[in-house]
Amino acid sequence: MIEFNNIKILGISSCVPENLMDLKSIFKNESETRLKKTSKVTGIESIRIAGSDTTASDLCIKSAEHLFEKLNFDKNEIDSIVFVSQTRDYVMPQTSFVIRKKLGLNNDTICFDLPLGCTGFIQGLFQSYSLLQNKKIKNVLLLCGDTMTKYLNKEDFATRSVFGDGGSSCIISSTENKFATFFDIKSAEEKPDSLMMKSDKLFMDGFEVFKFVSKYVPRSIKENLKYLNQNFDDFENVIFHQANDFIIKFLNKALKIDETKSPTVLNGLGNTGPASIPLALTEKFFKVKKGHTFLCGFGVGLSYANCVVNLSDTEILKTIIYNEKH
Amino acid sequence: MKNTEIIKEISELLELEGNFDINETPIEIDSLSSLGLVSFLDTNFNISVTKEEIEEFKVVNDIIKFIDARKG
Repeated sequence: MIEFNNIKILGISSCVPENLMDLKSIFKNESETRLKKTSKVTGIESIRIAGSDTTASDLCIKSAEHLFEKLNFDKNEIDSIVFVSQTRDYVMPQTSFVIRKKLGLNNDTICFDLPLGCTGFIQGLFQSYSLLQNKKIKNVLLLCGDTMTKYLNKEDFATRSVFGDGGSSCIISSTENKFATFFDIKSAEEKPDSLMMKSDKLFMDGFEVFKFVSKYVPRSIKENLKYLNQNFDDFENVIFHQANDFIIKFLNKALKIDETKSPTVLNGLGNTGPASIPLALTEKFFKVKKGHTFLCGFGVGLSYANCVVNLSDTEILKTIIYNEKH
Repeated sequence: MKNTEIIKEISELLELEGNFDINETPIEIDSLSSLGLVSFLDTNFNISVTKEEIEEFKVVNDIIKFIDARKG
């Protein structure tokens, strides 16, 4: 694992579209039996869908403005933006430049886009922590979001019943406190084509993705715990990428994790890609215990990433709703 | 795990209702059930299964035979 010190997550905020659609409304011609069976496995009865003019950056910007306000944080103190998304506003220019301008940040703010998905939050944290190794960089704004529903094939039940839209923001800062943070980021030997964008539409082979998760993720987590000489009793929270209820239950069972430490927030949101881990925190902000936390992402790539982070000094805000007339 | 327990777990996974014959009653394994089956075989027997192997399961006893063969 790669260790960083003297860095902390100052605050986390998330934002979701106001449009909440239940599966019955999305799939008017599907049988109730199929919809019920699907919801039972995925844990999803309804999802958030962004309006046609709303982008991932809109959701992230809204959550960042909320974070600045609630933390009373001077946005001029931001030195770099890292924007993680698979549904960036443009291929060219980088969306982070657009975000910098819309947020009114200084023009010497260093801007990066990272085209990452289910491991995006952890990889975004890693990039932010890496930037903070430079003494001149004190605060990084990490934004993670997707509006994947715009890239779903209308005929594809498997993806349309699972994916939702959302955005998040974090401020990551240098600190005098030790706050050791550990990362382990890997990709699998299997071909990445079981989860990919083909002709502007998302394709997912759920069977192969699950097999990849069951083969690699529990093993990597066990290796990390061994490296740290810790077990899940030492952690206040275990937050998995919110892919679907079935996978999270499988991982909880395989790793003997107490489910009260491992929240699922799929219903009413869906799988929101790189925003799913911060959304799990902000949806359960009242339940998340401040302290030692294990984060785990897995999916597109096929990649998997773990992070051990201390959230003792982190302000976790309640999820906010994006008003489409905004 | 005893065969009776395996049959019970499989019948719940595949939502088999009433009296069914493990050698005769045809089973349908859709994409969601196949995930459950992968998880069941991995968690309980540390057995990995492919899509092609699942397609060969026509009755419950095919799954039991598959487990026996893999367990050696």
